[in-house]
Amino acid sequence: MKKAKLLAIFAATAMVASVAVSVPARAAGIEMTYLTPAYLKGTVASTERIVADWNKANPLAQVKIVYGDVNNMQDKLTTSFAGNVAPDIFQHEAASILSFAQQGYLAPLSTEMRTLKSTIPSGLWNVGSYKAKLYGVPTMTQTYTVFANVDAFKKAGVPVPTGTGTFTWDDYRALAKKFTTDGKYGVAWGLRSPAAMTMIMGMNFNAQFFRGLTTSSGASLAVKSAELEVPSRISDMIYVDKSIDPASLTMSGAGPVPGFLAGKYAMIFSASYIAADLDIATKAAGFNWTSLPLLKGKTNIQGANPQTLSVSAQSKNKKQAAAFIRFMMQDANLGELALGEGLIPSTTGSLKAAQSQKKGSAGWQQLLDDGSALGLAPFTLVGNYQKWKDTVLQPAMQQFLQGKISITELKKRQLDGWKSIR
Amino acid sequence: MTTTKKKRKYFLIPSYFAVICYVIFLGFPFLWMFTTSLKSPIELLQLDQTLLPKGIYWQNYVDIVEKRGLINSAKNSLVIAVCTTILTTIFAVPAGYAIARLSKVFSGAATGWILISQVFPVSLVIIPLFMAVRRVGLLDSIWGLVLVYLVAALPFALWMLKGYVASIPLDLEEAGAMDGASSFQILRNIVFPLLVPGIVATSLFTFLNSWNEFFFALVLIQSPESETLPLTLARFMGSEGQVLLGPLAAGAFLATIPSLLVFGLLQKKLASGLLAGAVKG
Repeated sequence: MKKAKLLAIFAATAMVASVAVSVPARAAGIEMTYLTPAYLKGTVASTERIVADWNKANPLAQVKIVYGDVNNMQDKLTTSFAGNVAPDIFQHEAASILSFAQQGYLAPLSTEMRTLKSTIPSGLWNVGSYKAKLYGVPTMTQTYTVFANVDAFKKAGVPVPTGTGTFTWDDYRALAKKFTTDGKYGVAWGLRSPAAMTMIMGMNFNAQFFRGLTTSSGASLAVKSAELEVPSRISDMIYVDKSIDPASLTMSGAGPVPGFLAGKYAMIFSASYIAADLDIATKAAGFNWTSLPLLKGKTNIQGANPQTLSVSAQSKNKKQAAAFIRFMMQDANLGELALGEGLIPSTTGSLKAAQSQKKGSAGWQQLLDDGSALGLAPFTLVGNYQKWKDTVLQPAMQQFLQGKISITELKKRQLDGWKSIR
Repeated sequence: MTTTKKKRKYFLIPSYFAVICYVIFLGFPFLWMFTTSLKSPIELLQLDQTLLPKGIYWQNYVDIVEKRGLINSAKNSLVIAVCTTILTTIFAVPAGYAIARLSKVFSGAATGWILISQVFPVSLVIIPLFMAVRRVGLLDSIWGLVLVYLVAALPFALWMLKGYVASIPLDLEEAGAMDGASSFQILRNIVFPLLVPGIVATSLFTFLNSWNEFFFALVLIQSPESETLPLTLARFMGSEGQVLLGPLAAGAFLATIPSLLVFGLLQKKLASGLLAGAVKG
């Protein structure tokens, strides 16, 4: 009996000792979680390569990747914050992090990222800021542009527009009309979800939508001729010129790509991310594409809603998390990530790195050259913007572009919708 | 051949034709999904899609298994769906019997509670549920999901089984009692065999719901090791309608197989239970 007791005491002591020995070893290092919506093959590979490099160089501050679903990041983060189990670092779009910053869920990064400030255009930097503090480090962003089938242009004897700030909305409309022949439409435009695009492109005509952002009463919505210019021009191309394929109106942004590759349209209007798909077609079948200069109204500036990297205020390792973000923002890393997504990297160095990597591609060069034409979109600073966009603007724009409501009704719905949401 | 037989034969031809059409209608999306999973990215970018792939591209399957952890997600989903189904059946069968056979007041209150529990939208309960699961230490655990799915599945399972029990004539149980059978014998030898189709239907319903559920898993699961199949599949879709169609089709095809197998295994029971009529001869 005594022997058994002694044995039990010995076993218990050994167990406690083994735990005691293992604690310092575990406590010496930390593990941070990085939530990313990366899903494309190239971006996933780049993310894993970058994280592996970091982990190799920082054995005591390891990063673990957690993949999120891009379409449900908001829900995921909302519940994670509420439950105090938020990831240390996460990637999300600038317009959506504002509410988290307002609720105090994000750690300010202005000091930690001060070395990056001079390398990021101020418009982008401000998009990730709230009350003069940076909460989301802008990493990459998309532009909306016209992609052209170079062979179709050559065949028609039409020169491909080049340069920066040279291609106007009127030029675009004329080109679309020119290529609308023999039962073919000049352009395909995936307009299933037109809300964000029309607001971003509206900046070409100085559309502000929201005013009084810093007033105590909060932002107010104003819909004037500048705000209605883009919807009106698209509508004219659909119904007056009949130069946009009506079948494409209900497609997603990337929907018209197969038709474009098959030579059905000379041009498509889409976000820059489709360049990744066009690259596949170029490699496999020698498809000859390019992107045209950003459309110009009064300016060629587009509103930016970049992807951002943030640190959770709940993180116990904020300094290391910020260091990891700086590592991700290194020129080669950010350039590689952005190209994988078909997006424009935010820092001047990473933009140069991307440009040198895509030297032979005229389309990519144009996309990257135009990266400087991105400005602060006021709507990203408005708390209820997402709700208004999804529940009011989106359905109203869809109905307007389908010819179901007039432009006066479109304006009325936008204003009434904002009143009810506020 | 008699006239009746001839008539029956002529009636069978359109019946079989209708069945074949229905099978094609149901099976075609599955076939399309399978052939899509064998297409290369460049083929999937072409405008004119064909049913059969121009070349077999196995890389979609290699990618989802090796790089996206599909096998681990499938394993988690299977464990969750099987455990939820078993637990739901264990709780719902006796409870369903009790609700159907006990006093009207109790039955009314119980069915009222079941209905009320279905009224609240998921978005309303998700954060309190998240907190509760976290408090009991089951956040980011497949057992936490089993618990949540069990709670979510029970009301409907009870409702279904209550209906099945109610359809079994009480006279049969009384006849058993008259013949000297104990309560347990009545349940085991009379009620249970007649309840088999109901149990199978409820189990299938619970299994499929747990297998396909997305939102609770999205919120309650944090680490890749505990991910379920719908979460893994959702990661093949990007914003603005972007989608990795080849890997998504491959993943969706593999994800459908267990459901089909479960249905294949249980459908005989579903039919046999229905045929096990109370009155024979």
